[in-house]
Amino acid sequence: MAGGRVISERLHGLRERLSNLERSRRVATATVRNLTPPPPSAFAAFGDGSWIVPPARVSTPQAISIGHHVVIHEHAWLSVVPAVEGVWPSLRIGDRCSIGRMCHIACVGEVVIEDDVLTSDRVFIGDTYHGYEDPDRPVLEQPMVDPRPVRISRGAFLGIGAIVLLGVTVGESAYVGAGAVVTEDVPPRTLVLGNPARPVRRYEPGRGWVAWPG
Amino acid sequence: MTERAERAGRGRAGRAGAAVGRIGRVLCPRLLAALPRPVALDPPAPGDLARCGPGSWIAAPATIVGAEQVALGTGVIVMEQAEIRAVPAAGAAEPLVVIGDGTRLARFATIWATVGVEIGAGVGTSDAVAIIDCWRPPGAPAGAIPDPPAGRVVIGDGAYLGAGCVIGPGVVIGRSAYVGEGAVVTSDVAAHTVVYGNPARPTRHWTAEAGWRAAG
Repeated sequence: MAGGRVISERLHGLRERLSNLERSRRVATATVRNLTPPPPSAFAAFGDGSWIVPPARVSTPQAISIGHHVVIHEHAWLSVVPAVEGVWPSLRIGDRCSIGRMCHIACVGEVVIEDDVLTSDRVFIGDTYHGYEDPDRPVLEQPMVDPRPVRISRGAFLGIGAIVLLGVTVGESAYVGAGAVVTEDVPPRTLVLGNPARPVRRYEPGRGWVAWPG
Repeated sequence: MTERAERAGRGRAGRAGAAVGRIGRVLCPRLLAALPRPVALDPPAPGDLARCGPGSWIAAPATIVGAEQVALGTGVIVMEQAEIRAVPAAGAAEPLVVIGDGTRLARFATIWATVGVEIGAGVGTSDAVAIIDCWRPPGAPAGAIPDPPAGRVVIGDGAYLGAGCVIGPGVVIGRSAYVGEGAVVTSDVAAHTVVYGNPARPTRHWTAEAGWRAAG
């Protein structure tokens, strides 16, 4: 009887090790699959000479259109999700944009990045946030609030770790400084800094960069 | 030889397999060597830097643009995923990036230099610190309007930079100052001063007479 128990324990241990191995293999496979960007044909549009450098997380590529000669560097998370009823998300990235590493775009409504936009690493752009009004439910389980469109206009620049929140339009050739948290519209050719972001300088043709409001 | 390998070695199929294996072993390293390597993510050899003191190293992967503008003292550690872009503007003093003895930059550090970044000796940082002397990544295509002016960044000996902080253009950080986690520093920080916030403000300050006192 004792011998039987030993054998059964060993078999159990072996089964457990095998199932752990299988689990590791599944996790590794799923990770590689999730972090491999979809092929260009899966996107609503994907221009010539554009790249999404793996690893990258891309959801709902059929709602994402990418222009020509765009480079999205590694560890991007294009989180485009139909999360609000009756709203189909749309993320558009214009021609010749360069998006830095570890960029996170959370889009359930409309996010437009126009042509020639340059962003640094660790930029976050979101057109919604998790609702938190119900005090009895975890925030993660509460619905996303109604999105408000975000637009990064032509030639704008987002510094390292910049955060652009819902409903914001960043003007043409505006500079969003490193670490700025943008909660209101940024006028064109203006440098904003801080949390919340405030204009500190603006560019005037002929005078160069002058202190805000100058 | 194991039983399985013996079995594989028998018969026509086994011989063919072994031949393919031999050809593969000869060809594969050559094919791999012929493929383009991700050179951008390899740290530069010490000889490619302006200076690399004994015991200094840059961990892989790293993005180093303008390695010949980077001077490391002795025992400098730059951890993995660093991004250093050094592209001299006209009239900049070279080398652009100088890192002092015993300084340690933790993972995901970013340094952009066009007019000069000087990091003292014994400086410590936490992860994801950005030290930038200009407003756009050096080497990026020019925008429709000129960038706001760049300014030399100096970080004093023994200072500490908390996780995710940003040291902006033209900032001078004093000796043994402490830059708090997530702070965005846009103006100078005095020696022995703690700053927090975005934009960063002093919270504590040390003097020899009074010791540590709340700032302001």
